[in-house]
Amino acid sequence: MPHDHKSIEDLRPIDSKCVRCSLCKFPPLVTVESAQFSSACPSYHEYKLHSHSGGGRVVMALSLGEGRAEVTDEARDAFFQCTLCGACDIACKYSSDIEILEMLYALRAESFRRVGPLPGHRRILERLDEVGHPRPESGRKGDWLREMGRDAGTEGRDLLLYVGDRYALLPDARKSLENLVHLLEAAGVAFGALGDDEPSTARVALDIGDLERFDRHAEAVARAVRESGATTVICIDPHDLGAFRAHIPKVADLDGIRFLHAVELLDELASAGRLQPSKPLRKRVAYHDPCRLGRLSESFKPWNGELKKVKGQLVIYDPPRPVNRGSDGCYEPPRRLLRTIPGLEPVEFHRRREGAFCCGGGDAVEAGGYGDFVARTAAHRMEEAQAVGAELVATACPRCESNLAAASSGHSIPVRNVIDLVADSLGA
Amino acid sequence: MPIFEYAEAVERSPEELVRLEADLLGALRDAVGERWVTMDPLILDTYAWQYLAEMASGSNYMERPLAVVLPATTAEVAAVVKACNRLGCQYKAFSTGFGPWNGATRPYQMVQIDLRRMDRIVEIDARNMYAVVEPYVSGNQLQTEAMKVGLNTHIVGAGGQCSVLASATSVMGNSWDGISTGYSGRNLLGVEWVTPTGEIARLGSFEDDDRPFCGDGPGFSLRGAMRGHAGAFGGLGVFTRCALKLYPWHGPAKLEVSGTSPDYMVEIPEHHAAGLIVVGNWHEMAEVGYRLCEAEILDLLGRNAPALVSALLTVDNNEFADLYEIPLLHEMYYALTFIIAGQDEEDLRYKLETLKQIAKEVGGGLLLSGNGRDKLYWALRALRALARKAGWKAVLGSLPAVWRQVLAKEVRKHGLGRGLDRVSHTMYGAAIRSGDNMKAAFRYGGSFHTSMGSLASLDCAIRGAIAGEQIKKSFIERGTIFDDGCDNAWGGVYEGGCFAHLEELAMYDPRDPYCREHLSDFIIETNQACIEHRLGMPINAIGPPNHIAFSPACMDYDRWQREIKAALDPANASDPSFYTDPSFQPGPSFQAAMARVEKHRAKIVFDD
Repeated sequence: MPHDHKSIEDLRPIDSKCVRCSLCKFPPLVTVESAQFSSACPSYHEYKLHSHSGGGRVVMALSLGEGRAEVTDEARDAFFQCTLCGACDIACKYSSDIEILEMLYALRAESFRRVGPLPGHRRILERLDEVGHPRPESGRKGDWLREMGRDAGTEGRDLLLYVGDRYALLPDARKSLENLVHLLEAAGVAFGALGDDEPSTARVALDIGDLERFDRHAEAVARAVRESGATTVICIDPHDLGAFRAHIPKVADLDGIRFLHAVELLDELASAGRLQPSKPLRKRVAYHDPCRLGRLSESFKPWNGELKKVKGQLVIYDPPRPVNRGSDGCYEPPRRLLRTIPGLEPVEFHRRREGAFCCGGGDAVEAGGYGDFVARTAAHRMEEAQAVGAELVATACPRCESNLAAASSGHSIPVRNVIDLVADSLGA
Repeated sequence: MPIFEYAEAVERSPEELVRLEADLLGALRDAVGERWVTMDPLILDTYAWQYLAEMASGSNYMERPLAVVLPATTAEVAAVVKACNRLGCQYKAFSTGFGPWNGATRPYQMVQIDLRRMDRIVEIDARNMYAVVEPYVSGNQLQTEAMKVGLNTHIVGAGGQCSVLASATSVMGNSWDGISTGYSGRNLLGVEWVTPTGEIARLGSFEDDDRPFCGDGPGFSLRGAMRGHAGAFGGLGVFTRCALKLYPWHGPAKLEVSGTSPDYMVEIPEHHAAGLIVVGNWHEMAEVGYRLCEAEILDLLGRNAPALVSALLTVDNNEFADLYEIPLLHEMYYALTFIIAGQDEEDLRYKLETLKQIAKEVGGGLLLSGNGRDKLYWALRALRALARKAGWKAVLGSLPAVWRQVLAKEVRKHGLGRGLDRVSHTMYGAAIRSGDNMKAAFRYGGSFHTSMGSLASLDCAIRGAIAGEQIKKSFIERGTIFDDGCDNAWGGVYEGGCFAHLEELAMYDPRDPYCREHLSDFIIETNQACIEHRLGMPINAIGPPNHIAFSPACMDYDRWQREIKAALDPANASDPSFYTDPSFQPGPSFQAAMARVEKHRAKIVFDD
């Protein structure tokens, strides 16, 4: 299946409309509640240069494509000092339809093609080649099954639990995986799991710009999912969910298979009365929307139409172009789940839902050598938690949980996974 | 059409350029630290790319600067300016940086001073109703904090993401909230100014006792010199702090917003009302405008033409193209958006009754928010006003499509009351928070330009709109501009009706070579019309190409600008390109544009 990754030149007709309005640097203005917490873009917030905004990177891509400049070390830093959180993309699409996020990926792919990966990224790719996943931890992806006394297998199971690299291999994340398994079993949900045979989505390869490796892994994981016979796949890691919904369909066929995040399934179960948390937890809780579960969880919508002009200079798409604007992200299910826990008092971040501020990002940012950026971004988010009076931050992404927890020591605000909070309240 | 084709590069040999870059890098690093200076070409290109660059340079890019520097303090700004003076290069400072006047205009010559790091709201003095801000404070940020203490700020038409300091000190200041929040330049109080040579000046009361509550004294008032009518657009040094008037806000500390992008619902607060005043022609619009201003009952009064209103109700251009076929929406020309922010129920009731009385006396109608019992009556009056121009067949025939394409989905989502009110909620949110301006002007073809828009009486502003409409017709016929029905004049009244502006918007595709070449013809022709028909100084009367025509018609103002520039900036270090430049000579492109304009000029008729 030919891939549908867009190149800089593919995106030029749409993205050259950028007028440098700077709306990509802020959440949709009508939603801003605090000047102190009014940045949308963690990169621009940290580095201050216009190049480090969504619009700035679009221009760098266009300039590179026109041959106006080459990729230097400094420019490459500018490409990768970005969490790919998509806040810029969604903010721009409130008014326009410029594909900023797609261009950020195209820019990284072009940089990879021209100058190769950053040293830290190279090590990740080598690991991917060695063991089939990018994680540095030793162990096998089916160890969690063995430790829980469960078997791998998918035969006769409509539902496949896709665990992902982080939950399968990282000891700190294992607890949430085990809690999920207990919750599903408590609710009488049967599911299959691939265990050691679970291929990595290699999402990080895409973030690094290595399309060839990503495509290879995408085809492999799509094949494994299809062959499992599952009609529904549950992901725990939003990075994998985003890969399945938004990126792998550009490369491989996943038609007819539904991809959900674990909190969406748990929400369905709770709404049906099959999960009934009872143990109270009296805390003011702020839910942090993970980028890849929220605004970036919409499905890929292929479009290969044309730009047309009507009424002189009115530019329309033929056929109409579907645009992901973050409207259908997973915002309510985790909030509904939290409301089932007695005693929890919800408060909201100033920047929430599709306008949520990123936690500092995924593995590519840290591995690129920008750990300080990650840490300061997370710290800023935790300042916001303190500002809104949160006593607890809940989230549904392992990376968010890890980044925010590392930053929370200065605020004494614990960070917990929604799955763990539900499990605790059920006494699971 | 490249206006700056005259701006030749300073003659430097390659060796001299290398030496300059090295000296400059060292000087700038000394001023702000190594981290905050860059000379990377790709990064510099992000500063060269600008809205309307195609008008100034002929491409999407202004010139690539020599370097970008990000100072954090006034002292650092002064050090950078002095370094540029010393090394013989120029500089262009900006705050949020939207527009070609923020970019470099000469090759191998300019340092871009990005004031991003100076982003503090230093103080909001609620009792004395002013705020002190640094350059990278946006209108949206200031408004957000001001509302918490019962105040509001003027936000320019470019949008809430733009710098309030930049507008107040350097660039125009037009908007649709002016009836209650004034005009940017007139809201300016004390100013801290790094002069073109790097001296630090404090104007007004700022100089006297460090409190910037007054722009005109004790201490020097240089308001006319530093700012004047339009501002110097970066041609007279760098402004690093200013105080701005704030205005009463009789509303909640925070507006309630629900929904998900792009479909937000902004709740109209208790004791507030919003909607449209609909009349039958320009004369009635002037009449109702004057009477409303005299009555002092409104917090916002702005004119939006049908294309703009329709754009705000749609998510994308495909949806807009369908919606704009509905005759009713296409014909709603003589409508004014209004907002009343009542202090309490009695205040709101008084203001609404006054509004209704005025509307009735002028023969108009109202599309009102809320659940008033006479809402339908006023809506029918509005339809009657529309029918006077469009005819009843078009008006009544449009209602099923309006229901189907606009209201039905809103009623399904929000219920009958709030669903039918959707237009009011949308206009309220757009007007108060100024976050929809890009949707209203840029989305159609990708970019827009503007014309007419003198700050004059409402009658004069309307004459400008009439002239602009007639000029625009031929440009639409030639395919240069989006066919928005010719009349797309946007603007409002200021300071209780003392003056007004209506700018004629022109939407186009900046990727289209034909537009890039010919759009400036529209600007030239509308500017000429302002002189010929005495319509005041238009919003585009900026920069050396326009001073050639306007200065002789306006008391030779450019002579004084040149003297001020020469006195304050002997090395011409602060980029003169959008301010005043004695070296400007119309280049071949400019002359070709003038010739085209002469050939196709519209004959303007006023039905006085």
